[in-house]
Amino acid sequence: MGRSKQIIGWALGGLVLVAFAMVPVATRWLLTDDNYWIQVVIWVLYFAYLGAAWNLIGGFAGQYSIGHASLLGIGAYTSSLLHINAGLSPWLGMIVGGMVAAAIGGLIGYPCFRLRGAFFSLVTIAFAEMLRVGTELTDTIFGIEVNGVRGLLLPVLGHRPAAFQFVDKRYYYYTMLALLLLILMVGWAVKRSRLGYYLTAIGDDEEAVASLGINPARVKLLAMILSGFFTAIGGTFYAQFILYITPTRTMSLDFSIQMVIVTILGGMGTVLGPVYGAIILVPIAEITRAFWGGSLQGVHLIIYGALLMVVILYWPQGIEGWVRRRAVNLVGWLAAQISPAPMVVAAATANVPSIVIPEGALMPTRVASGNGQPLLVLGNLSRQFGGTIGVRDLTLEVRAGEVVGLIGPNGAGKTTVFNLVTGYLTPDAGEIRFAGIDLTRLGADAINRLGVARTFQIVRPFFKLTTLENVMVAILPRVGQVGEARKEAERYLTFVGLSHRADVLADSLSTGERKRLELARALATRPRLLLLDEVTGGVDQRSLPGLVALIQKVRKEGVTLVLIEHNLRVVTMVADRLVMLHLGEKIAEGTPEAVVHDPQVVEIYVGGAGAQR
Amino acid sequence: MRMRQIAAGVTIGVIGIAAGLILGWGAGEATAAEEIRVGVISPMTGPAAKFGQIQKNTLILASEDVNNAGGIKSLGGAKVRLIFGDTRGEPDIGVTETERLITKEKVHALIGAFQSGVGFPSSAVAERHQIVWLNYGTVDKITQRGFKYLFRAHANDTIKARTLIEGLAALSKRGTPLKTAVIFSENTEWGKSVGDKQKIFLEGLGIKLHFVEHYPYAAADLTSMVVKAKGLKPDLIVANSYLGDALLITRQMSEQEVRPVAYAAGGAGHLQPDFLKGVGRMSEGILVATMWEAAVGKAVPWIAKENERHVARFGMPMTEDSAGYYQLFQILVDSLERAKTTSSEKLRDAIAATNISDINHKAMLLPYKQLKFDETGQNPYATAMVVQIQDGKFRLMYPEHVAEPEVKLVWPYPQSK
Amino acid sequence: MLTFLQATVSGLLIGGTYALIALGLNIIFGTTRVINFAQGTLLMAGMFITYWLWVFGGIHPYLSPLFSVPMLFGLGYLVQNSLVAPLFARERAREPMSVLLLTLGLALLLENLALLLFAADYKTVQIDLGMLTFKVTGIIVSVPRLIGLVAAGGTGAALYLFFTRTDLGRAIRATGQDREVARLMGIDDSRIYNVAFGLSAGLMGIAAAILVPFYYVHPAVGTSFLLKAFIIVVLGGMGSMPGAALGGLIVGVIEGIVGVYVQAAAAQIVLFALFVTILFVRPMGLLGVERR
Repeated sequence: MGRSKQIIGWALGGLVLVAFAMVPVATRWLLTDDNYWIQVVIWVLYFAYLGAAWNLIGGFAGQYSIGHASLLGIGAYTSSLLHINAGLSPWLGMIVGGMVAAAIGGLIGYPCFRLRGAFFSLVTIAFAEMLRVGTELTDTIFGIEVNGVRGLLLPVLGHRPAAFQFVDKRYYYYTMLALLLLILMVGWAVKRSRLGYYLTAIGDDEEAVASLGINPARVKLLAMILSGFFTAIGGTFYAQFILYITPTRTMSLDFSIQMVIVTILGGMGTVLGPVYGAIILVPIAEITRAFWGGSLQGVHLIIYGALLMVVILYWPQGIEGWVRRRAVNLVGWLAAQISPAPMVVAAATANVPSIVIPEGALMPTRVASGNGQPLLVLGNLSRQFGGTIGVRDLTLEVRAGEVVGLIGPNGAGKTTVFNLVTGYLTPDAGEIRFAGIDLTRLGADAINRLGVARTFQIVRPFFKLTTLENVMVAILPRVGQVGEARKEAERYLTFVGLSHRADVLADSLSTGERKRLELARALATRPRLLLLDEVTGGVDQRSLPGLVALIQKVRKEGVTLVLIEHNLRVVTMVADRLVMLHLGEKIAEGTPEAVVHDPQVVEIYVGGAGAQR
Repeated sequence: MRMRQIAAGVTIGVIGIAAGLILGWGAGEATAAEEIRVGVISPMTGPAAKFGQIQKNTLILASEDVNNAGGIKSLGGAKVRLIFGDTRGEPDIGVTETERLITKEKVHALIGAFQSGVGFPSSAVAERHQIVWLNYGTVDKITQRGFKYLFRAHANDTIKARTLIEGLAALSKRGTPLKTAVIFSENTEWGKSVGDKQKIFLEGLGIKLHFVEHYPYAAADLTSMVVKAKGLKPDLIVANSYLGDALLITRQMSEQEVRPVAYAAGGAGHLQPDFLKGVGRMSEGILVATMWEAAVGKAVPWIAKENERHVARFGMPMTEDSAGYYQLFQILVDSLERAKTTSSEKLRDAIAATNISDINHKAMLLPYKQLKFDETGQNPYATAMVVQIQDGKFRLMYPEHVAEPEVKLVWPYPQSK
Repeated sequence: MLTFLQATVSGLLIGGTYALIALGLNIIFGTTRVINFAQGTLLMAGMFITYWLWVFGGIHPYLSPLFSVPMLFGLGYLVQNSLVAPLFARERAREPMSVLLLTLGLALLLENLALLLFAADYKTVQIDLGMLTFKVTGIIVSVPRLIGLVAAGGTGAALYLFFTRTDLGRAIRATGQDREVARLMGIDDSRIYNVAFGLSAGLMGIAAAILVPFYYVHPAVGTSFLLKAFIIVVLGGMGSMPGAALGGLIVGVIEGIVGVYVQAAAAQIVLFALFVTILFVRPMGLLGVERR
């Protein structure tokens, strides 16, 4: 049943492809003004292509560039100027243009990635507008005629395939079809590759990705370079199709917005989304133009604007999901017709309420058992937030192989310590040394690569990925191969007792399961030091013993642990040593017994007027 | 349940395909050969909309005359149908409109596009499809591309610029001389071209040109540019503008108290009735280069009568450009009669063979010694003239043989409020 | 020297109006953290209302805010209530990107609807005041622009009083600073958001009344002002009202001076470059406050 479904799926896909290939022939045969309708279909393919190219950085990486038309313009102008002035064939000029755009996109994009979402978009608009206005003002540059706002007219050469010019529109159609297939394959390859996993995770939670030793900016840079390259190629196609380019149209904000709308409607972050988006949006434009063309321009933009709003409000995932489900249903139905198989009722997965850790599950580790040397040293560490004290003059030592519990009331500075150690905050003063290395100036991803991992107080799994894929993201930096990473991820899931939930979207996990997932994910980076931030938070009573056992297991693997815990029972069971913080300062340290009975600690925890701030 | 879904899907698909085919079929059906479809590429909306509207009116008048007189006789009385394409003043919209008129509406010939920046690429589309393009627009380069299907009957920028500058020099002898100048040009094809040509002629006469500024065609505020000029106190300011910018410049010159000895214009915007309305008394004394002024009707009665009909019908006179469109239309009609076919190639040849010297021929609305086209498609006999706005009217001032004798020159530019 | 002064003065005059538009953006951003891409189209709507009031009702542009401000307030209120609020409920408490896209779609819709209904012609309102100027030590001051500067300043002052002295104003500021706490104190944050959006839209009615006497009315006019407003808001500091005022004046002056000494279009490039630089060098702007 499964195999026949596969075959049918491929067959269906092939049919669609053949249908697209037959369009020029069909229209010639059925319509008299096929010349006009061929153009419409070419525009469908064109916008699908551009949407797919934008998707690489917009949908996959979550950086919404609203200035992509600038890259298109760079491609168009590069290949055209080379063609007009140096006689270079646009086929080659296309590649050059792509590389130029990729370089510029990367150079400008990279420093901008750290800007928060909407600001990034604003900057892309600013750059695009600067480029557009700049080009409009430039008549000649280094003696080459750019012609400013009047634009470049490419020489009319008739049918000259070597010069990327045809008279019969069919040739343009097939060229565009080939380009579209190319970009779709690129998108597909990216999605399935390591890069794809990184991008999806980044799109979900960039900070969590950094905690796994992955530098988000570098990942996005790669996506940007790819996107820029292919967008520019689209620009060359435009130039060779229309034979006239102006800055006003090729680099305009309107064009950028249309690229974005196509992908949003179709489905951001999906491979085929832009195609669906273009199939719907382009004909709308052409039909409205055909009916009202002479008298009412821009009716289609009204529809685009309305559609964008509707999609954002009610269908933010785009229509790709809907189409995919219909297609899957269709394939399933067809397969059933061909080879009806008895319905197999899959046994419902038993709902495992408490943690069951199979005996003997081994976590591959490079860590030798702790030998008592100081692993993490905090010296006079201080950090303030405006007028509020986060941490003040904190000195602390964690020895290899230890389990240290960090306790204290809310606002004591415990998570601040974690954030400082793992590179999410920079200290105002003091030092942080891990295995002798100064961490204060390193970024979160670099710190993780050195061997420090953490979980978060409020769990941050990658919701768009499955449980297994979540762990894979942590493994991929070490193990490039996706297949290998998958196998290793399974081992970690088994270790924390989540292997029965491997293929479930992280979104659907319970709090306890999410905590275990985060633990598995952090462990998968093979840390020597693991910082657990309230790992029992929100977990029900029944699951606690299992969780405690898991922590013991992790410890047995040789990982040094620091736990922030509110649950004193748990932390006294697990920790060798407790450190109590209050108002950013260390007020007690010692064995759990000692600390728990310390009068200061008792007063703060149990209450009394003096315990209030 | 699933069957129903699939059935629904298929039905929708079939309806969709059917709709597409019907639309495509219906639109593509060739209309009977008893109709001559003439595409008109003009700015119907946008900053230059006023021009387009008048061009449309004038052409309607002309085509109705032809149809009422029995259509194109050599083609069995075929009627002429005008199909308008709105360029909005944008080159790329002009390109797509031209494409649409050719491939969807299947026009036999095109007249356009008024704004040379639009006409430049749009005419290239026509050339690609080998459809006749009768060009209205003065940029020289338009006829210098080796196109076979493109023709221009009126003066180009070189002729207009020379006429203007030489005219100014001649007129200045009656008043005070002009020693320095500044040129404001809108930044599309026309402004750039005419500005360059004016520069050449100014320098040829030894007039010092401080600067040529190309401002954005649809700018909302030109104060900076005007203030810049004010600092230099030029004798002559030349503005090459369309309507909106002509209004802005004139008003802001008044606002900033910029008072040149002579305020001249390369054409277009400053010739529009709406310009006169918009600036009122500030228009007094502006000298404009033009290819046509209704006042030529004084020498050629039928022109005056035609203009009167236009005023009676539309409440406004013909303008330089609408008259130009009219002329091109008449040339087309004349050529159709001679070609006896709508075949693009033969029509093209008939146009190329045009040779009119009868002053009373309808194509002589812009009167020249001769209407003939050289190998580049340009009429080498085309001329221009200089008018001055006096009391809300255009008075012919130059060259001598068309100047109205009793009219006194207003000099310097009074900048009345 | 006179030219320089003239350029500066002209720039200051128009800068006041720019500041007003930026103020609108700031109110929304300060309260809801939303970057309203439709701010420019709201201005354009205001200008059209002003125009039609004059053409059909003979109402002087300076009186039009009596009508346009309530109308725009209502429109803004509706937009926030029916379109933006549902998105807040959904978005996972991060930077609301989808709201930016939503407002972008709205802007696209409104601008082209206006193009459809009113055509792409450039409409102007001719009133005698429009051409009035007077001279001060050789520098020419355009009266309608001066009125604009004064009106913008007055509106700014009124807003300042509103935000500091009235309960509603303080409630808006409180909600902007900490939504949770404001809610705990009994403030209906969704109503506050609606009011903030409405207020910001209503401001565009005043800006429109200022602009129409000396600027043309056209569906695409919003976009150019919007981009300038973004630059001002970032330059002055997002969420800072005095920042918007300062930013507006700076942008106006830069525009004027670059326009005179180089070229009008070059001013655009300079402004955009300034925008990008500020975002990198001092993202909180000149007068903004660094946030956690």
